[in-house]
Amino acid sequence: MKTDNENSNYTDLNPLISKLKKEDTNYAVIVRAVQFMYWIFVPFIGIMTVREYMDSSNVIAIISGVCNMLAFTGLALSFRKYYYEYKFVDYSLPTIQMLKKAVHRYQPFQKKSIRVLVPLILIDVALTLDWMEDDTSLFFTQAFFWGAILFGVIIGLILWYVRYKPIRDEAQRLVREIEGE
Amino acid sequence: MSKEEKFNAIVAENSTRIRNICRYYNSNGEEQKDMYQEVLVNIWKSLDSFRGDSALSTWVYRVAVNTSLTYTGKAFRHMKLMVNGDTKNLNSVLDDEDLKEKLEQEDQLDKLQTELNQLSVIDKALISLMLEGLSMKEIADVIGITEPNVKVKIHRVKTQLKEKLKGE
Repeated sequence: MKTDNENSNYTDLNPLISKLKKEDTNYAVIVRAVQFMYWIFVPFIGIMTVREYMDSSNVIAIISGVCNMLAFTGLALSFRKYYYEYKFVDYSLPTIQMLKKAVHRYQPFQKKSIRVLVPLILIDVALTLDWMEDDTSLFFTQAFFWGAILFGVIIGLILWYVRYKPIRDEAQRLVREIEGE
Repeated sequence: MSKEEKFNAIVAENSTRIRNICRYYNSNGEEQKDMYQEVLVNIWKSLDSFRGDSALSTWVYRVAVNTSLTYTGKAFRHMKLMVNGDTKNLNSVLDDEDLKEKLEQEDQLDKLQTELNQLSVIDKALISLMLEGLSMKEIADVIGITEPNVKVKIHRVKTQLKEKLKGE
């Protein structure tokens, strides 16, 4: 194989490879943390639910616990997928495809985000059932939960507008330019 | 072959290509090195997706050109395309004997340089690949558009450049 002696003068590959390997390791650590949530936190909610049911014999505790377990499982799986998609951009795609993916990635609302609604609704159901036990009004619970979600969405949109909208707009402009003729 | 071995082999075989692309976009040596390093980072990140569907050189050019478009080190809206008298295939930009001769004069080269920097980011990317000696088919593979489309775009850029240079 042809090697390039100039390369060693241009950049030292060994520290770079160490850095890249470290980044791969960090990714693995984050994935493990999410798996930890999946394998430890979800069964933990299950155990707490069973204990609560044994103490109170209240079937609501079971429904609420199952909703929470399903919700956290859904969030854990979604997070892993999203993290991979956002962290690793494939630069080896043809330019037009890479730019189209960037436009899609930096859209504030995407069809697949609807999937996150399912765990959120499950958490809402669990919270509503739990708080109903404490005589909290349904209206207050809904206003509190969806208000908090709305607040998060607004913060997210502000961040998107400042940080990601310019990237999305520029990628969109380049796509239009490439497809122009 | 481990990821590290594969990476080392790709870099060893393609460092000149990557360096050339970095030189087109940066006049400053330090900036060239920074961009070179960023291309290597993106090669590492994209390595798992290399299936051998396209030639390795095309794959490397894609990573290099895509990195140049998203290069975080500078605002790519102001990205320049740097050429000099030694730039390989410089004559291919202008299919005109008179202009080729004129280009040998330093001031004409400066004018060409100025005109190249008036081009859009995508046109600069197309010209940089042309200067690298890639065929229309290979450029189409890198950018992801059809070969006739590449020909149309490059023809338009050449005509534009010729008119500007002749008009001076």
